[in-house]
Formats: sequence, C-alpha cells, structure tokens
Amino acid sequence: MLELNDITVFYGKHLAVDTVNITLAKGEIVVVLGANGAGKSTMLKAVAGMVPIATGTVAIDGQIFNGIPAHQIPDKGIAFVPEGRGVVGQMTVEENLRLGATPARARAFEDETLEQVFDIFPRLKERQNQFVQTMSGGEQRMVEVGRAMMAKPEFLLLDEPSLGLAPIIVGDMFKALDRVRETGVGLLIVEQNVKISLRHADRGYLLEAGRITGSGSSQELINDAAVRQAFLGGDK
Amino acid sequence: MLEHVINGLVLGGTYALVAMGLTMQYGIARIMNLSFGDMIIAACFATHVLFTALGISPIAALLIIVPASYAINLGIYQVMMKPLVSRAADEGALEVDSILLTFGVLFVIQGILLIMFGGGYNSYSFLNTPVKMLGTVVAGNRLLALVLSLAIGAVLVFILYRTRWGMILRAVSLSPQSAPLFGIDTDRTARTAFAIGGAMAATGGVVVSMFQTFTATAGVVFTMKALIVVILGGKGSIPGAIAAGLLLGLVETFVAAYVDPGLTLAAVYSVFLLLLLVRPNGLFGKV
Repeated sequence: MLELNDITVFYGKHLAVDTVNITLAKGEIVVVLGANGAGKSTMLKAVAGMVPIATGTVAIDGQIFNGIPAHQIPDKGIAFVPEGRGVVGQMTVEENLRLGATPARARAFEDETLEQVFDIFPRLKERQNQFVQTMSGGEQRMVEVGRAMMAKPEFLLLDEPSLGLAPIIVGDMFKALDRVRETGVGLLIVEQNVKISLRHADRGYLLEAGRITGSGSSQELINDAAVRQAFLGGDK
Repeated sequence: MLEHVINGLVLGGTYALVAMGLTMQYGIARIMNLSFGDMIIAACFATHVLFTALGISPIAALLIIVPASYAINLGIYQVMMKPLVSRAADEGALEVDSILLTFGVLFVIQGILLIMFGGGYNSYSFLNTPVKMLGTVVAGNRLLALVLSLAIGAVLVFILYRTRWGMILRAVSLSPQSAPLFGIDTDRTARTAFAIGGAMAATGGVVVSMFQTFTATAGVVFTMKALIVVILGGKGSIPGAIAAGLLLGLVETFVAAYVDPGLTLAAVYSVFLLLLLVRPNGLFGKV
C-alpha cells in the first residue's frame, strides 16, 4: 500500500499541495482529477522525490521514505512517468527500456520484463532500434510507460498519460495501462481527461487548488453532480 | 605523401584521445576544464621522470600514471568542483564557475611544473627505431602511439555503446533531467566521468611524450586543440571527437609539410571556422 499522509508541498513560495491524503493498493488504478494548476503534477513530483515535501509523509506498507534523493525512489518500488522528458530522445527504444532496469531490484528481471513490455506494446518491439525522438507522440508515451515498467515497480505514477494524444491512441494507452495493472502494479494517474480515466480507474480523488475536495469509486464520481458539472460538461 | 598521412593519423589519434577525455568532462560532468592541457603536460613530465630517472618504460608508466590521475581527478572533483555543482543555479552558471576555477588550476599546475622542471624543451628517446611500413618509414614510438590511441579509443567506444555503465554515462550526458527517473545517481556519474576524462588526459600525455617535445607552458595549446576537436565533432559526441581529431591531425601535418610549419595553427582555425559556418553544431552535433 502506497500512502500519502497529510503531505504539503510548496511550488516556489506558492502552496501547491495542501495536506493531501491518498492511498493506492497494488493492482489498483486510482485517478486524481483536477484542473490545470490544481497541484496534481507537483504532488506526483513530490512523491517521486523531485520536489521537496514540506510536511507529511509518504510510505509504502508503513515504511516512510520521503526525503531521499530522486534517483533512489525507483529502488523503493516507485516509477514515475512525468509529463514529457521521461525518456532519452537520442537513445534507441531498447536502450531506454534496458536503462530503465538500472535499479538494483530490477536487474535480475531485465530480459523477462522486457518481454512483458513488448507483449503489452508490440509496437515497441517493432521499433526497438529506432531513436525515441524520431517517433510519434503516442509511441514516445509507450516508451515512457515501458521504461517505468522496466524498473519492476510496485507502484506507477503517471502524469497525464493522455496529454497530446489522438483520441484513438488515448484509448489504446488506457487499455495498455489496464494490462500493466493486471501484472499487479498499482497505478496512480493524474488526468484531465475525466471520462476515459474514470472508465478505467477503480477509484478517484478530486483535487482543487491543492486540496482533496472529494473522493469515491469511479461509478460514484461519474454520477456525482459536482464532477459532472466541473469536468464532464453538465448533463452529457 | 604516405608518410604524412601516417604522421597525421598519429597526431590526430592523440588529439582524438584527449578530446574524448575533454568530452567526458564537458559533456557528462558539465565542467569546462581549462586546465585540461596542463594535466596532459603533467603526465608528459611524469612519464619523463619515470623513464629517465627510474627506467620505467612509458608503457609500464601508463599503468601507474593513469590510475593515479583517475584518483587525483576524483579528488579535484570532490574538493573543488562539487561545491560549484551544488550551488549552480543552472548549466550556464556551472560552466562560468568551472571556467574560472579551472583557469586557476591551470596556473597552479603550470607553476609547479615550472618550478620543478623549468621552462625549457623536454624530450626523451624511447623506441626511436625506424619501422618500414607500406613503402615508407615511421618511427616506432609514433606507431605505438597510434596503436595505443586507437586501442584506448576503441575500449571507450565499447564501454559507452555496449555496456550498461556506458548507457548510464550517455543518458546523463544527453538528458540529465530524466536520468534520476531511471534510478541514475547523476552526481556520482558526473564525478566518475570527470575522473575518466582526467585519466584520458594523462593517457594522452604519456602517449604524446613518446614522440613529441614538450614544455611546461604548452598545456594551453593542448586545451585549445582539444576544445576545437570537441566543438568540431559536436559537443558530447565520441564518434565526432574521433573524426574531428583525425581530421585536425591530418590538416596540421599536411600544412606543415607542404605549406609552412608556422601556419599549422592558422590552418586549424580556418578549418574550424569553415566547418562551423557549414555545420554550427559540429560534425556529429545534435541540432
């Protein structure tokens, strides 16, 4: 179980995340919904060790690990796919994936996990020798998710996996994320694309101006009047 | 003609070697090391002393000088560069700070060498036997220098492109922001790259001293040439450093042989300017 306990994060002097509590179990997809600037990205970055947590704790199965440098986070079992810059564009697909198995916990499973990634994203197997920067946005997203899987994480943090992708590709991406979940990984997804993310998630949280203002199962959130109003465009 | 090609490749091979070292320091550790050439010269003198005073052959000297240089450069990074890296707001700030700092290191190394050895020309005679090859005659030490440069360059290329460790070094060079996501410790990688770069400068120094005369103040010329090779090849590109190094060696040798030895540096800069006008990012540079 990944637990964010009362975490507060500042972005510069601005309070970006205000005493947020979130839990995520293995094999579960949890989505955090919120508008631009609600603090979603900052929250994920804080868990990934890329921005400091001011107060509160982050723990896996009760073991607190916040405060350690970002490069040690993957070895704790947490892989982060940020919005862009998650891979090395001037290296090949295979190099990026193999490099993803750098954490000690992942080394022994490298070839096995690579097969798993190729199984979920057959396109990456076809293009394994291609430089990532020459690929389409959707394919680059696949490399980023694949790279994160290579670290053998228990929990995967994804910042806007649908961003900038064509609708049909977004659907494929979420189907692929379903399959990642089937391998036992817990996924914490931050999204603006509410409809599709709630269709694939088990539960969700609403983040507004840095605070959690609601939570519930995906079905509850879909039926929630406030969610419909704010995100789903009224009665659609 | 062929003689000049071989001599050009020998010289170019050593340029490529030291430029690879500078690329490791600049491209991966992001330290612009102005004392780089003086580290080369220090290795020249170390080889000289080991050979003439203790009778240790330059080949055996490599085994002493290269590891020592690795250790010394680790120390230099830890004591002098690390504080700069920690306080640098961005890459540009680190570049300016490291230029100022290594400018000082340059004078310290040069001063020590001047006190110990004076300002005169130095050389020693090692393996100065003529070798007949492809219808021409080459000095044995030059041939050895070429073989050593090629071998060490090949090892580095193998490490960088065929091992995980090399992938880590390249990832830090190409995308330092995303490296931590892979679980890569960028600080440690930078320190290692800096030390490897220093060890390669020392290797270059040992190799150069086998066939060239050197002075305590010649370091700055090596720094400039290594810098030209790195920029010409494309910042951070190892294949670029090799190609540009060989090109520069050939140009120098041919200009010295057919035009005027006094014009070598001018010719080097002309090639440099011309190529940069056509390819602003260097031969193998990223756009």
